[in-house]
Amino acid sequence: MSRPAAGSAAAPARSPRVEAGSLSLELALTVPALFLLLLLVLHGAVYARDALLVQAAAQRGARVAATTADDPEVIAAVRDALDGRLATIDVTPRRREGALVRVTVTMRSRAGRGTATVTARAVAAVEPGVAR
Amino acid sequence: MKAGEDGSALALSWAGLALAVVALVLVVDLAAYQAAALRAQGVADAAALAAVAAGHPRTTDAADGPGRAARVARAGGADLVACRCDRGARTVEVTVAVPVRAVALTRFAGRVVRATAEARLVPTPQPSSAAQRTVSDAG
Repeated sequence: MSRPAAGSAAAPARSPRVEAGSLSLELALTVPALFLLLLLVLHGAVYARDALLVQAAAQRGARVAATTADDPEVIAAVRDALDGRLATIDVTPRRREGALVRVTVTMRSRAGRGTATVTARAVAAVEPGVAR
Repeated sequence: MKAGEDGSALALSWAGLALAVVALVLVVDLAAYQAAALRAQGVADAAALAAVAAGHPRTTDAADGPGRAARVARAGGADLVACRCDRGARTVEVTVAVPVRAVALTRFAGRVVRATAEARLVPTPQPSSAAQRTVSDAG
């Protein structure tokens, strides 16, 4: 009994010449996607680090704002916690007596060419005897 | 490439893609838990300080310790879970819960992060009375 030859009608098979390059094409599609995902992981990690930094700075600012009616002191504490990075700092309300004080910190997070805005808010009760 | 290795490079790249997706979800979720834990601790600290200040003689706010703690927790986006704030007590303990906005880990780690803080009211000597005492001692 004779076996059918490769490529005959009885046993259709793609010749190595037809498959040549298909692997390269698939790799060319998957490798950029892989790099893109790794880049996203990296950007996510940078964003997370900045989000934690901004949250900690806002909490420190709120703690200081609860003990003083001096806004520049609050801003200095937040800037110190941010390690000199540029940020928008908002302290409300201006008048402290008998109220809560809120500190909002907004910063641009940069990773490579991408930027994202990170915002954190912290609140504290104004301590007795602190008034403007 | 040998016949037995056909498709192995493609399988490897798909595995790499899957690993990268898992890594991305993990980074996002761990960051969400970290941020929630930090926020919860900050709110718990602020709520405990607010509650203990209810016993301060110069406090003008009529609310009691638990009321002040609940107000601070609500303003900080948290829920007050427990407040050991007995009337007249100099030490209070406050527990708050903050919701977590994670993608996948909430099934295993829960949807909220709790934090507990303790605050103590420590009387400090007034500068004026200290100065007077010094003067009277000297006299």
